Amino acid sequence: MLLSLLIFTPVIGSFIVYLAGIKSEKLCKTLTVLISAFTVAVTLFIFLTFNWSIPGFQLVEIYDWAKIFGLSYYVGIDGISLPLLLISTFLTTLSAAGSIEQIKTKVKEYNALLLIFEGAILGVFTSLNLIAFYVFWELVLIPMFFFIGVWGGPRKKYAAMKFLIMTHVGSILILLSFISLYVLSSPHTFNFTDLINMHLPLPLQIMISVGFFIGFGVKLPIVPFHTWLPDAHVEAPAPISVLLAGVLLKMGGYGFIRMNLFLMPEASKYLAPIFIGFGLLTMFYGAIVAVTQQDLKRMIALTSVSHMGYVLLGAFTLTTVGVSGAVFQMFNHACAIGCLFLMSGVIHEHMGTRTIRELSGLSNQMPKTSFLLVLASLGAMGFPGFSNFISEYTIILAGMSVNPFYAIAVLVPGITAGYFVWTLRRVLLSPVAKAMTSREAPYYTLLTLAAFLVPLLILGFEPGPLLGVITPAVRAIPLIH
Amino acid sequence: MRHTIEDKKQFGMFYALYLLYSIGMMGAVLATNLIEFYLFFELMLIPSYFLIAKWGSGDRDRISFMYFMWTHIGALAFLAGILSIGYLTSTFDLGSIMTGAIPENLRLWIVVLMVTGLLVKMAAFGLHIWLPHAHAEAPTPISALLSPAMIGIGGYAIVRLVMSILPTAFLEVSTALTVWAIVTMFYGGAMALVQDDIKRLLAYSSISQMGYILLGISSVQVLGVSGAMFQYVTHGLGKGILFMVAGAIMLQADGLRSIRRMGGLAAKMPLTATAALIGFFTIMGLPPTTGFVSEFLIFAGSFHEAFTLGSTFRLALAFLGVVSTALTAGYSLWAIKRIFFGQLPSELSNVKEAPLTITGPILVLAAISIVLGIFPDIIERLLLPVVKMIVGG
Amino acid sequence: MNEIFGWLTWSFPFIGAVLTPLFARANSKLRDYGSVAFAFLGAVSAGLLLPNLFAGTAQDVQVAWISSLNINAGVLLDPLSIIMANVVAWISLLIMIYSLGYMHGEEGLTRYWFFMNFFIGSMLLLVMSDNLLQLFFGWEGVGMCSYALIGHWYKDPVDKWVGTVGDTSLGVPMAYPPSHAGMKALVVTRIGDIGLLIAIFMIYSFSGTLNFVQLSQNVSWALPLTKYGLLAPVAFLFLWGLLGKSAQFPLHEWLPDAMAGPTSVSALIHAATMVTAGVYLAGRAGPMFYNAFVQYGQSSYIFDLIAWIGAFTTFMAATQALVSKELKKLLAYSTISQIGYMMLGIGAGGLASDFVTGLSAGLFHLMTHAIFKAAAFLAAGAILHTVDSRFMSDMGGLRKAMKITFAAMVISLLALSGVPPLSGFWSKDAVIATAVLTGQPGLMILAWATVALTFMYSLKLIGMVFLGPKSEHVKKREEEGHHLHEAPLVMLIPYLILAVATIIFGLAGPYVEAFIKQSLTVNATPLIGSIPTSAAAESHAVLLGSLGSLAMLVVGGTIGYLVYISGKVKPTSIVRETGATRSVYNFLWNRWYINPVYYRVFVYGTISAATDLWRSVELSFFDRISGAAASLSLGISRDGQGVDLDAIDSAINGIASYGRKISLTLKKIQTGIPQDYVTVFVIGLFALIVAILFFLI
Repeated sequence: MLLSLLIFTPVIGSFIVYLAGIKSEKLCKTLTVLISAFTVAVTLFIFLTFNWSIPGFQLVEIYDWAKIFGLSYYVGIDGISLPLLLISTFLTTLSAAGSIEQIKTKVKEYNALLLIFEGAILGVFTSLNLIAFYVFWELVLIPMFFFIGVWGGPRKKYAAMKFLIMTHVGSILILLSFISLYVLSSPHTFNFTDLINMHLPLPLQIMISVGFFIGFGVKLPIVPFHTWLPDAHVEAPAPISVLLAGVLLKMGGYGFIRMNLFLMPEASKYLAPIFIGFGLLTMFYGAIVAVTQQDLKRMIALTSVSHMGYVLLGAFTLTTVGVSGAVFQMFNHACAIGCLFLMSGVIHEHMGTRTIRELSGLSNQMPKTSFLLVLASLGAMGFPGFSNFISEYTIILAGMSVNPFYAIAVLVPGITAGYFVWTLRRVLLSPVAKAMTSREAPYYTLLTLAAFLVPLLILGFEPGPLLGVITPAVRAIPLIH
Repeated sequence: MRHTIEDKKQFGMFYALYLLYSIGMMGAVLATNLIEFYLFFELMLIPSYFLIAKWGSGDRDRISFMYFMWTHIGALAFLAGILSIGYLTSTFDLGSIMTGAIPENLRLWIVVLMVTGLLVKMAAFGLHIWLPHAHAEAPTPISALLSPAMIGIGGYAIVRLVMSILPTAFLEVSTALTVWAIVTMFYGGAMALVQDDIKRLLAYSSISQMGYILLGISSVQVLGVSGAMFQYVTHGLGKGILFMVAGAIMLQADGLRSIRRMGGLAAKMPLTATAALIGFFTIMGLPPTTGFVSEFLIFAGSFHEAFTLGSTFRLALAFLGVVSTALTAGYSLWAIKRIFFGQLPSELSNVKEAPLTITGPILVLAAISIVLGIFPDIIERLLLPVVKMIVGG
Repeated sequence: MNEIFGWLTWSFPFIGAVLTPLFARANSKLRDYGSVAFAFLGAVSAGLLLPNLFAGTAQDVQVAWISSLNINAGVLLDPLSIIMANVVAWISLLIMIYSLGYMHGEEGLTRYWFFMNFFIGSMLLLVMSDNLLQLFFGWEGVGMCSYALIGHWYKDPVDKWVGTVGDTSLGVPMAYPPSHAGMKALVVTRIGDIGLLIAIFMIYSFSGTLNFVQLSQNVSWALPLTKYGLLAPVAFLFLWGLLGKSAQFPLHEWLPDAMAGPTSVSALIHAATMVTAGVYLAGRAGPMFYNAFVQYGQSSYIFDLIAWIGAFTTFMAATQALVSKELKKLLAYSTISQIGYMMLGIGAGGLASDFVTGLSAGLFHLMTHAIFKAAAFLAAGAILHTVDSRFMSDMGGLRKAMKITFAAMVISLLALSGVPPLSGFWSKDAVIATAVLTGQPGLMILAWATVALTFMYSLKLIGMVFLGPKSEHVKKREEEGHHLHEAPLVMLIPYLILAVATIIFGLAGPYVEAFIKQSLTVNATPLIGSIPTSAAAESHAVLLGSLGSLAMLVVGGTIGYLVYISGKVKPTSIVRETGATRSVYNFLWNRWYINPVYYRVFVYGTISAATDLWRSVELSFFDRISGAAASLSLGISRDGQGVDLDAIDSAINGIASYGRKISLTLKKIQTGIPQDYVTVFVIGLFALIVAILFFLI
């Protein structure tokens, strides 16, 4: 029941919030935060009661839905989805908190959609029936589309369309792959657990994997399917960027690990070098392009592109270390980048601009925020002491174990450090550009920002708790031994 | 350093970073685990970066950035080496690394990666350009920590991590390193000779001193390596003295750094002049300062190695190494003459001796330098067994 | 049993040096007399070592020093070190006393006393030490002190410069301020030390010990060196160090300029003691190389080298002394020249395979020279005080005013010239006799020629300073009221004592020589295969040598008398405005053009090379790397972004707009409302699903 509770609390909550919103916006906002906080509590409870030793799925619930084409409500989690559940609820709460200050128009709709989004995303990470998975997958798009299209910046229409079209094309391919799986399986089923044991001939596997690759690749995103992301981020309001980068992208990574690695073992082995090649391309490309960005937010967006490249690399090393590193990386990236996005929003709020050149002298204007900015950047550049360091370098290490040539990936942290320090230098250390009388962000905002960094620092020194959950599940992947 | 920061309300920040910085250095030196070492190695970088970028002089943000990038990329090369060791031996713990697991053909590359990474920190010739800028523009107390303490850690790490883990592979590159060391010694000396900015002069002399350390290390001889470690102490003392002296002069002669405009300061600042003389003698390796002992050990080691290899080339290199001390003597003495002797320029006529809070520490260092010079056994006795264990023999 | 004095000898002055600043805090009298007292203590403890000398024993007392490298500290008490120690200690004492008067009222006296005592300590440490490392501490210690004391007047007042201000040669200024002179001295000697150090390293890496006794008793360390063919080179590098310290060609150029220091310093460091350290070390280390050569049958051309360098330096310096205008500089050149004799003696001894004779000759000359040259310098100091000018042309006619100084100066200079029966005669002839023993005419000729030259410049000094009419300068000063006066006793007595000592050693010359030679045979560093030459051959050589030098004395004497004393021949009539003699004069005046060439090549050369390197490599290459890398990465990044925006985006947008066209053609519901797009996609989606199902089933 826990999972259903988890999924449907926000969905139901969204209506309550909407109604409450008619009364007073304040109440609606607080309710949203409370409901999402409740989901956090639930996930934490799950996390604590989770049985680490069992590799398979836990808290499984299965109800028939539409038997005709094997659609059933079938949810369950393992060590791979648990961290993502944690991060989803966690980030939703934080972004809801962040929205209190930053969202001023159409508050009730916004909050309602926020909760629907949460429900959908939780559905994606839990459901083990492919159609259900797809439904939730598509359900995620709709709120996100409106977030960008309604509450977004000047070019919101364009960004929203671009986002929708590209991700949607991807989704269609995913659906095609699912359907073909269903058709090829006998007895026909959409049940994940049954499909694991089905062994397709390699060519078919390859076809389907390619479908998955594009579908999930758009979400991840992989270069060259990434161009929706900077625009979407630039236009989306900051709290939404947090969800976009922190949660939505993870769907792609999750998809790769859950679908490709579990269902397409031979194909994954076969295609691994190509996928890794795309991973490296993404890592380098994102990092390099980020260097010259003028817009702080766009730079962060490209950073997350490059960081998701790690996930692809890690996943397709097909080693325990690499895959668990990839999952861990998704978690860390969500925290670090989420913090940075929210911060970019805060800075925009207070300084009235996001253009790096005009932000000079921030340290005098908003010292506390600047301090947090430094910490978050250190996290994002994978500096020792932050868990990003661990995940990034375990992935690179795994890559080297597959092929020493992948050691070249070590350059990416170098570039990343380069443009982050450069940005910090321009933002913090340069003298005040123009006389700005901006006040420091309020304390609850600062607390929200700081909250992102807590898990990074804790796990940075003791990654045990999370990796302990992830690794057994990863070992359970038939492909990996 | 109290005197060098105008903005009083920044004290807290300054000292916080300063302490963080020294934590990094101590941690790096005490680390017994490759990743741990890397962690502290990087921890040195961030605070020093901000210290330079915030309290530095001149084109500080460009220079601090340059400093950050050079050393960070070096650190990454080093990291690549570490990771490969970690992967191949499946441990990062210095104690439990079994090098047998590392295939022969990879060893050399790992060593090259690690050593190159560390040489950036040591500012060996070719990888050195960040150093003169950083040292010249950093606030003087930081220069006095950068140069004597930090860059030497690169040398320490080569002995502690590279040489002890992969001795045979290190032996293969030792000749190349010796050449590199000699070039660094001469190049640094030559550059120091033509500097007019006193802090730049010291910076370049640090580069050449790092050459000495590298020479000692690359001798792979008990004498040479222990000499190199000794040289780390020596250079720490000498350069510490000299940077503090430079700071004292800049403080007293309101920020004067151009040697051309100095002269005859010995009359005005006798204590500082005395300390500076001892400092420069330490750098020159003149007895009874500790400089002589460390250089003696280094060169003895490199000659010993040349003969054990029976290689004329190495012999010639060792020879050149000793010759380069003349260059060191040259720029040191010339600097002393131009700064402290000769007629006093009129605009310096009202310079006073630095307060005791500044001269005190300098003189203490000077005293230590001489005591260690006369009784080197104080350190050597502890150093030798360890080095014997690492180098063997 | 009295080896404790071996330690005290050099400890006392060091203690004095350390205490000087503390004394200075109390009051200046205490400081001055205190430092002299410690020099005295040092001298006394040196004197207490003399019994060992007469007992003819040799011992090496060691204590642990750097135990981890098993290097011991120690004092080596054998005739060589004891004789040297006494010469150094007692002359130092006299000069310290002299300084009380000479330096009276100068500024920076604390510094002066500190470094004087530190010097004495280092010098004695050098002499007493039983191993190369410890010796090197002393070696560099004296170098440092000489550096500091030459630059005593570091503020470079023009009247303290050395050389004729404004005089240049080959575009190189030939007059130097004290600070520059000090630097020059330290750098040049340092260049010498490089050789010495390298030699030490090479020896150490085979011997594993640095102790003189062990090195000379067991020369197995030389075997591998011989194999590499490195024995002679090592010996040469060793010698190179000595040349630097003892100001021998080609490293002699620092000594004349070292005269920028106070005269007492010149007397102590740059005449009597430090510059002879090279000779001492040659005597100390000579046996070990000599044994090595003998043991492994190496050609001992190193001794040729020493002898020839000595002989050549002797001659060259003497010629330069002949033309120098400054009193102290003339004495400095003569010092170089005399040290040349000592080197010649040692080298010739090696050549004549009778090392002891050569060594004793060299040491004997060292001793006598130390005494009479110190006397000459101290007297010169007194003169400089009176006339307040360093140029001899500003003196003249001082004989009446300064009778005692005159006497002392004459005695010491005659001794210098080797006029019998003064001490110089015996020691110099001992050297020349050894040169004769080698049977190399070249050496003999140079040695003899120098005798004449020495006598000439001695007479020149006497003539220009004491005889003849008073110079304009002196007259002017007397009008100003500075009357010529004899030096105060505290200055007078020291050089009087030295002059008397010169006479005594002169009268006792042969016995002293015999004694030294006999005591050197009980050397702590024994000699293998040094064949004492037959008494006949030796007496023959001595006879020939003395006859030759006496003849030369006559020649030099007559010329000198005619030119400088009687004034029958005017110097200007010899050296005309133009012509051969003038060019010879210029050649000598410009120090054989060695100094300017050194400056051009080594100093200016190095600096300009470094500057070029700085401009061409550092600034125009390394300094640009970072910038280039930065701009490169920015460029790449921009291009990447270009690809991003142009290629990929336009592709996507193309697809999008294409899709839009399709939807237009299908249905005219192009409203721009998102929902419509959604429906479009849902329709498309279902179409696809149907299609797939159709195809697959």
